[in-house]
Order: sequence, then C-alpha cells, then structure tokens
Amino acid sequence: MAGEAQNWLSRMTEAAGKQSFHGAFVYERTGSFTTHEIWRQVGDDVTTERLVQTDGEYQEWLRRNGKLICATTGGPVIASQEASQTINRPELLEEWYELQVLGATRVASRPVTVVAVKPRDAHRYAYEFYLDSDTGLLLKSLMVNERQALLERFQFATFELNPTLADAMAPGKGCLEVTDTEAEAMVADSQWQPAWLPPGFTEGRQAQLLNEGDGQIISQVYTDGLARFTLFIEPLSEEHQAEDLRAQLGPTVAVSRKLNLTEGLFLATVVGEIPPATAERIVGSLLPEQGAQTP
Amino acid sequence: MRSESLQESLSAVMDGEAGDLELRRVLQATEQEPAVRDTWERYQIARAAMHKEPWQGKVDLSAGIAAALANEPTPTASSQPSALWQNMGKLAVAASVTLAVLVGVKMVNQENVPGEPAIVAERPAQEAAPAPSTPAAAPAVRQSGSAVLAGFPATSDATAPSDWHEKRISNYLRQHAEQGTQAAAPSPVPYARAASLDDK
Repeated sequence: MAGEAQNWLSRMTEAAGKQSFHGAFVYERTGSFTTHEIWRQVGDDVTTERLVQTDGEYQEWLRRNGKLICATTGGPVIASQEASQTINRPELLEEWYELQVLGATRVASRPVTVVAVKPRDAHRYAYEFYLDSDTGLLLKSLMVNERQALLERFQFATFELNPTLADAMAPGKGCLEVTDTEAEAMVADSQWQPAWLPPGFTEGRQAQLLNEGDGQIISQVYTDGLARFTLFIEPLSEEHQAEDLRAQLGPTVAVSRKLNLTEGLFLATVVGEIPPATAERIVGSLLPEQGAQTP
Repeated sequence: MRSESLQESLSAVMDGEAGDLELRRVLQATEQEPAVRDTWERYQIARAAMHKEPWQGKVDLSAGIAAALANEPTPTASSQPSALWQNMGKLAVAASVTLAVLVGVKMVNQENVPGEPAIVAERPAQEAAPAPSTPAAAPAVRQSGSAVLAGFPATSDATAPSDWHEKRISNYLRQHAEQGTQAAAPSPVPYARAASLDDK
C-alpha cells in the first residue's frame, strides 16, 4: 500500500510540470477563507501560471518558468531560487511519514484518489492529498495537527484540463511589474545553524543574505521534503527592539528569540508549518547556553 | 423553550460552543418537536457535507453526544464541569481567540511566562506534543500543557510586541510563503498562504 501511495505522490509532482489546467479553488485556514482562480499553461519551453484572488482585495500573480513577472503587491521580491520543496523523492518521505492510499472520492466533479500522509513523530503535521485519479494533479489538500484539528484546506471547486487559455494568461492592469532584488548567497556559517533540527529536516538551499532597509537578514530554508520552515536572523539595535514572541497564523507558527551573543544582540525567528513546540526547540537551540547542551 | 433561543442553542451546538445543558436541551427538543428535528437534520447534513473527510473520523455526532450524555448524571444549571475540564475549555477558547486576533497579525509576546521558552527548548520532543498516533481523546491532559506552552497568555498584562517586530513577523511570514512558490509546484498553497496574509 505504501508503494502505491509513493507512486501517487510521484505522479502528483510529475503532473504539476506537464498539465495545463484552469480551475477555481478555496483556501481556508483559521481566521481566513479566500477564493482563487488559477490558470497554468505548460508549453514546450515556457510554463506560465496566473493566479487571481477572486474575493476581497484583488490580488494577482503571474509567473513564467517560476520567475515572478508581476504581482499586485509589486515592489521588489526575492529572486526565488528553486526551492527543493517538491516531493521529488517520495521514498525518502517514508522515513518520516506513513503513506497510505485511503480510497477514492470526488473533488471538483472529478474522481480523486486520497493519499494520507501521517507523521511518524511529533515534529510535523499530517496531510491528506486528493489527487486527480486521471492525471495525478493535486485537487485538494488538508493539513491536520496532532489533535485532529484542521489547520488548512486547499480545494478546487471547478477544474478543467487543457482549457483554451489564450486570453486568460494576460496579466490584469493591477498586476505590477516586479523587480528582482538579488539575494546574496551566503557561505555556511555554523554560528547561525541551530544546534538542534527535527530529524529529517535539511537545508533546502543555500542560506541567503537579504538587504532590508539599513540592515541585513540571514534566511535559511529547511525542509523534510514536505514540511518547510525558514529561519531568519538579524541584528537588533536601539531602533529595532524585540522581545521573545510566539505567534500562530493558521498552519504557520512564528517563534522569535533574542540571542545575546558576544557580537551583539540578534533576533532569531523560525517561521514554518511545523508544530509550535518543534519551532520553539529549534530556535531555542540557537541560544548559546542551549546550543552547548543539546546533543 | 422559545424557538429563538432554541435556534440560538442549535447554532451554538453546531459551532461546538454549546454547554452541556444547552446541548441536552437541543437533543431533547429534537426528540419532541418535528420542526426542531428537521432543522437539526439539515444542520447535520450541511455539517457532514462540509466535513465528510477521513481526518475527522466517522463518528455520528448526534448519536455520540447522546450516548455520552446518557451516561452522565443530569446537569443542573448550577452544576459545574470538573476544574480540569473547565480550564481546558478556557485554554482552548483562549487559543482560538488568539488565532483569530492574529489575522490582523496582532501578537502577544510571552515575556510574562517566565521560564517557558527554556522548558520548551529542553523538553524531549515526545513530551512536547502528543504522539500523532494517539487517539484524539488521549492527549487531553498534555494538551492543556501544550496550550500553556503555546505562549498565548490569556492574562491581561501581556504586552504587545514592538511595532517594528510586528512588521518584521509579517514580513517573515510573507517571505516564507513566497519562498514556497516555485515553478510548476504541485500545489498553489504557498500562494494562497501569502494571499491570505492580506485577507481582511
């Protein structure tokens, strides 16, 4: 059964790069429910993807081959390197999650196969993926915590394969051209690496140094192949003061800790879709005294 | 029971906000009044349609509650649930209220929970959160612990983070979400997460 589930996850990743589609989906998390429309056109050389939020404030993104072309938020964005977040190797997931095909149902009028992904420890959440039985495309996904509370829902309401996309791919006039700010790649510095990481989490890509106003922020992505968190570290100063903090936004937790180092005062923040206690422990292991003790 | 207040009770039950007494009233009413039963059934169908997903288990809500209540002494208006249960409820409510507040990314820091961060950091992982394989009911006691650990003190002396920090957290959330978007990702969830940061 696990092998079958792995196959489905492989199909899901492959299908994402192959299929053109158009659909409308809902996204729900604690305190927020939004509706969206998506068009994806996969050509020989170019994959274009357009997303529009269809309720509330108008929001739009247009990406070509993964590069953000325009967005309603405009402004500079961090040139996104390919994050190794996709489930490229589901057989590796098996070590941290139990994979199981639960059965079949329907989403957006299409038959889907349901794959349950259950964590083997307390450092990650559970997922349910509803994959189009025909193509393997993800039509619905749920994230569930250890108390069986739903953290997040993504679900197509309408879905159309290989639609006529000609006009739909043109950005709206509210979609502002985006300028890239190149983030500097950073040489690994063990000082900024947590002494403790949840098992299975590795650096998703090279650490980045972002220029932010007058200061610089180090950011490092970690992933277990499915869940993902980002560690941000930046210096504190007279003008930039902060206290230890913990915030939860739907599935995403943010935990800040002040680091009192010989070089000065820094703020370390873990942001990610991981259980709060795990985030606490990661950021806590950056504290000098904690780091020394942690095996 | 007046029909308006019964309607309110019904809604409360459906939202999971009803007390035991209220719940019992509704269940009794559904047995005695066909109109109430119809409403109850419609709610149930709507609810089932919304939540017919494996993660939620396959418990018939009405039957489950009725059975559970049948084994309990009839509560009177003055009777109180156990202290533990009461506290857990409050913690649960406090947590969800905080989540709602966070929509506007208004945050409460935890400097008023002395020692908590250290405890969390040193706690073995298995204790910090209930094992995912345990049934939903089992982690209840630990849950109360983790709700405290969640660092959302319900006390009024909790201070808000600095404006700068609050902006930073919003920024981090956005960057984290946007870094998850990529070429032909299997799911547009990170986009939706980023979009929902601006949901008002």
